[in-house]
Amino acid sequence: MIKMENVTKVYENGAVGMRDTTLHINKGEFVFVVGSSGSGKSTFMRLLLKEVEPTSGKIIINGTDITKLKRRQIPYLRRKIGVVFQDFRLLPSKTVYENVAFAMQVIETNPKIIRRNVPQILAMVGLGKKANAYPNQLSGGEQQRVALARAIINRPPILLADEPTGNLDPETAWEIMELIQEIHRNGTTVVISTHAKDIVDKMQKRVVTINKGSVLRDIEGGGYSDEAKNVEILY
Amino acid sequence: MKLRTWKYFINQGISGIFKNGLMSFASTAIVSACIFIVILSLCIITNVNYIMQQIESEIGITLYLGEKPTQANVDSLITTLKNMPEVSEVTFISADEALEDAKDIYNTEFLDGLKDDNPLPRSIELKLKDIKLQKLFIKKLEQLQWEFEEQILGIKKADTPATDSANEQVIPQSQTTTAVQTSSLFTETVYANELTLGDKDYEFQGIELISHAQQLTDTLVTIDAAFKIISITLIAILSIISIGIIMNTIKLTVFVRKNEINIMKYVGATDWFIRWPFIIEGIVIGLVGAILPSIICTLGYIKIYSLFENEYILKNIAHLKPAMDIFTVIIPISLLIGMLIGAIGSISSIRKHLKV
Ligand SMILES: Nc1ncnc2c1ncn2[C@@H]1O[C@H](COP(=O)(O)OP(=O)(O)O)[C@@H](O)[C@H]1O
Ligand SMILES: [Mg+2]
Repeated sequence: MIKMENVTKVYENGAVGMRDTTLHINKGEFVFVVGSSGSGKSTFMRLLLKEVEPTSGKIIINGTDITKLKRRQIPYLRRKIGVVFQDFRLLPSKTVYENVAFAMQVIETNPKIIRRNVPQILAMVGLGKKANAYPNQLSGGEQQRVALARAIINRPPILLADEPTGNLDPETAWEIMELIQEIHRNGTTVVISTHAKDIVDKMQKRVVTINKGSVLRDIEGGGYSDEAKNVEILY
Repeated sequence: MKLRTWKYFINQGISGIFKNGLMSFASTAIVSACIFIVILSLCIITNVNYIMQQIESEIGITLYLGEKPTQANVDSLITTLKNMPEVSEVTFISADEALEDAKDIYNTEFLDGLKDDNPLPRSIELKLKDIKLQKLFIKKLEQLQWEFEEQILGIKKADTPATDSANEQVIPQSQTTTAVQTSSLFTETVYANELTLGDKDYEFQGIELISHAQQLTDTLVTIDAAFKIISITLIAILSIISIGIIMNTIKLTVFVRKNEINIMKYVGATDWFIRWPFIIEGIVIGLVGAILPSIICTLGYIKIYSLFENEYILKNIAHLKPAMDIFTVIIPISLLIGMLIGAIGSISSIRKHLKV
């Protein structure tokens, strides 16, 4: 589903975001990408979304080398990838319902389907009763649920989450992780970058550790690192 | 794209205008000023051309004939004139006809008394194919005036021997027809010779006067050219200012919608889907900016037109182009220019500020 082959990304200012990285993620996998701040997690996500171009190497998604895509083909790549961020990125002037419906409107979905699917997805993320609320009336966890709803409303086969729990308290973080797991169970390939050691350790998924743009470890069913688990923070 | 998508674009475009109302108002005003100048110049240029056409067709060039030439002389003169390539129409007006025309113009019976002793000269009216040829054509006519003089008086101008074979054919022909009169003209011919043909103060007896509106047509041609230059310059400057201010307005909307655009990109909206609302915003500003001066200018023109047509003297010189004729063309043009300015402004702004 996702193949990175010898990808290097050097930014204009010379900073190295990704260094000769090769990584394969299969359809239906659930992968944590961990690493310290500045290690290249966001660069990895941005490369998959074709927000930035690799300096060298190939990135293949669903059999297509996305480095060769033309500009006008990029939107169709992005329709295959749902994405959420640490800062939610909701539109403050739109209600919960409108924020989610927006993602369908801008790819010209039939209004009937919008009216049918948006309440369904809001119910799934547990916000059925908050459809008419504005983002500033919601808690951080609720806002991230809206963002998740928006990311999956068009049923993309891949979900990228760049530090989705970075702004949330541990309990809420767990709720979001459970929601993401539910999305994964429905067949979506999930890639999450995170700092949350405890979550990573507890969930026992594939963990890719990157450091200075290179893959340091790639362990199936692993933990965040060899360091001690910090269970106290979680509960 | 689908109809509801266009509805969405128009909706977004218009809401963008209100999101930074002050800038939108400023750009609309500048577009209005630009279009106002466009319409004004188009009105002036159209009417200058229209009046020139009337002068071409109504005033033309009139050759006033003296008493001397016989009808045969006049007929051969008319043939010569008809054969000139610049001439489109030749009309002979007899003294009687001239009197009738005068009665029409002055609308009085008073002139009836002149019927038996008509002081009005015979004349030939010429119409040219193109009024711009007039200046050169007058030179030719002056040459012809001399040739005609030579012909009716049976004399030669010393310094210009006739070289053209056509002229030489005309001269003997006329000599035969004027042969009878030659003796009775003798004294006057001598008088003419005293002054000598070619003298500046020479009084012609054949074509006494060539009357033309060269001054007026020259002025109109100059006005036309000057207005074209002035208005093109003004329109260019104002268009650039308009495009610039629209670019800034759109830039502000792009800034206001920055987060929205960002999300649209992430969920896979196409570039054009993101661009269209901004283009429409620019086009609407341009269109509204063009509608205002279109209305004002139409009403203003109708007013000026009625003033002009009620002015007896002006009405007799020339007519303005009717408002209907002028504005059915100008309004679509100005609306189009307005929309074009808006579209160019927003597209340039998008290219610069909307990195989709
Ligand atoms: N837009 C950018 N321009 C220049 N350097 C960048 C840019 N984005 C990231 N970097 C650099 O690339 C490296 C990896 O950054 P990033 O991928 O954001 O790491 P992480 O998300 O793991 O914190 C860092 O050294 C960072 O300074
Ligand atoms: Mg990051």
